[in-house]
Amino acid sequence: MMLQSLLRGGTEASIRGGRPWSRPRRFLRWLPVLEEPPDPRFQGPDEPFPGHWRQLPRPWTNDDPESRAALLRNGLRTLPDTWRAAALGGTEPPADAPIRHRVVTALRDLLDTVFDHRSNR
Amino acid sequence: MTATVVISSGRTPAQRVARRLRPLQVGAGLQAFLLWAPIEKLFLTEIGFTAASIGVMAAVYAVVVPLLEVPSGILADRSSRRWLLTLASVAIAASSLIGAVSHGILTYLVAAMFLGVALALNSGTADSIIYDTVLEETGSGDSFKVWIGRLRVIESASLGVSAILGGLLAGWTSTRLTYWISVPVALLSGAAFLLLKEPQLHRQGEPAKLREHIFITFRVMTRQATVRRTLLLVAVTGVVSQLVFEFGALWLVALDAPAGIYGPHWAILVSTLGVGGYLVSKLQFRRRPVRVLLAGTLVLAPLPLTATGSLPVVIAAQTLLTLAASVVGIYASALLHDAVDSHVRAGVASGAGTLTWLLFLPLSLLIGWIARDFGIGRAGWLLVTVSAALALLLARSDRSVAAGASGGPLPERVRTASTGAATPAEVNPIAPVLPPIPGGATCRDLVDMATSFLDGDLPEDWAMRLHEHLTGCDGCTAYIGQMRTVLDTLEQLARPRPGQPDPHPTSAILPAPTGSA
Repeated sequence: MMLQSLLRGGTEASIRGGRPWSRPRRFLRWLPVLEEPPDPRFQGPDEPFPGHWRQLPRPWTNDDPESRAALLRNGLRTLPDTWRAAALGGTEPPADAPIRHRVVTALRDLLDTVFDHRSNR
Repeated sequence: MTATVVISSGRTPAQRVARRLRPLQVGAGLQAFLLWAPIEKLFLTEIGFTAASIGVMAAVYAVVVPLLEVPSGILADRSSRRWLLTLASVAIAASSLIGAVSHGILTYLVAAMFLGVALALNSGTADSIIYDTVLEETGSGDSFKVWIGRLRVIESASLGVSAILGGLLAGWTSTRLTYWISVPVALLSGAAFLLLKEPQLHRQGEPAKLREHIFITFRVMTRQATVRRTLLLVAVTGVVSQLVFEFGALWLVALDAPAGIYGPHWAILVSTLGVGGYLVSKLQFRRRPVRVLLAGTLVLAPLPLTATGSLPVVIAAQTLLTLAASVVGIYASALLHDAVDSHVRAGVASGAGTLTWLLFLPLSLLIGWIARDFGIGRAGWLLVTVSAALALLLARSDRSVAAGASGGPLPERVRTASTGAATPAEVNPIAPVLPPIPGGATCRDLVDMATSFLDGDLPEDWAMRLHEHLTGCDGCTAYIGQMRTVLDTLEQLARPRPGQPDPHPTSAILPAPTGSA
């Protein structure tokens, strides 16, 4: 139940982006500015190496092909047909490339959470 | 060779959205084609209504609509949204039919109740369908404003045409006939909605129990600061529009406007819904001049209404105000839908409608009292105040969305890199999204471009810079390795293993690869 909620929520949220106004802004005057929200995984503009990892990604020590395939299969099952097709079918048509990237990124991050969670038991 | 993707059928995302939303647009256009709307007050006086009983009828709406909005929204989230729209059309048909056979107050009050039910069922449902359809087909809600804008254009055109035709028909024949003719039109709209291929995002995963669903819907509306602010923005926008639509004619009365002006005045106000829907696709809300213009219009446009003198000025002021409110309303609706998940989308959107009613009722009493005791000019200051509040809320909602709306109370939300707005399908889908890499690539650049990099879809100079980055970054090397693992696993999932039936339907959407492809 938890995993399904995680897969459903995380995948959809990541594909929505969660940050509809993510382009950088330069003007900061007397109207509110739409700044690009910082991604906590990367160093900010005031840090020593802007845009670089704050904490390096951890290897998946508990990864195994069977459970990975099962997790991805379950995750894909919760997605709309279009997203699933974009993830499985490559970038045809090319216009689906952004969808494919978001789905694949979301699945990678979900696996990272699951395998990281399991390794902490 | 990559297997053919059956689902896409060679169409671009925008074309797929257009195709899917066509029945909704047709249905909404037919639903808004209410021939009796312009002559309703005339018909009411014919069957014995007085000012007091018209007030009772308004009270019926005021009770039925807010009571049913959120429950119907939750029902839409748990079941079929297109069936909710169809039921709304049936309710409109019933209302028109009962109106057509009404010869007294009580019968028409029943018709008013059915119309209230229809309004409640509609509230938030069409918006939710559009947003989730756009999300399903494009992976992003960014073009929602365009599609909801188009729907508003269609609704506005339908309202305008039906207003003219209804008036003509009533003049040539009878007011009652307009009700009769509206019945089959409403039923046709219901049939159109049934042809809609509605999105399924709100039905993904295990369904929550009803009590839990209700709890989550209300918690999203009340406990999340971003959603609360955006709900207020949507509601106050609705209040500004409704105040002008309900009380705008009072300025004409105060200026002794000729009777012939009232119809065009109403038509101009209604047309701002459509013009606003058209403009919203042309405006770039992220640009400062656009936001300045909108905020300035909201603050300045109602000022002439405080000093009544010139009829053209009053009409122009009301037109500008409703136009600005129309544009902001669509923008606010987009913010709200961006902030919530599909599973509670219609319920929360309906909550915005309820909040609009709750705010409108006391303000309408207040403006009526001020207009009666102090004159319509003083009442204009109330409109100025509400519009100024809207401008402030507009500013705050931008900031709160920029800070990162989370969307929904789902547990342990996984934060992922997002690549920003989806590009239009007609434009190269990769190049406009990717930023230029002036010097070396950063880790964030690599994460944003990982899939295209691994698929070999990047331009050569970008790919080279990412390769250079990988040679010196262990973190990105590990990340790319994990992404490669996911892509390899997806490729395996896309092909059923030989000799074994695929127990899961995932690969069933793709035809089996042929030959050595």
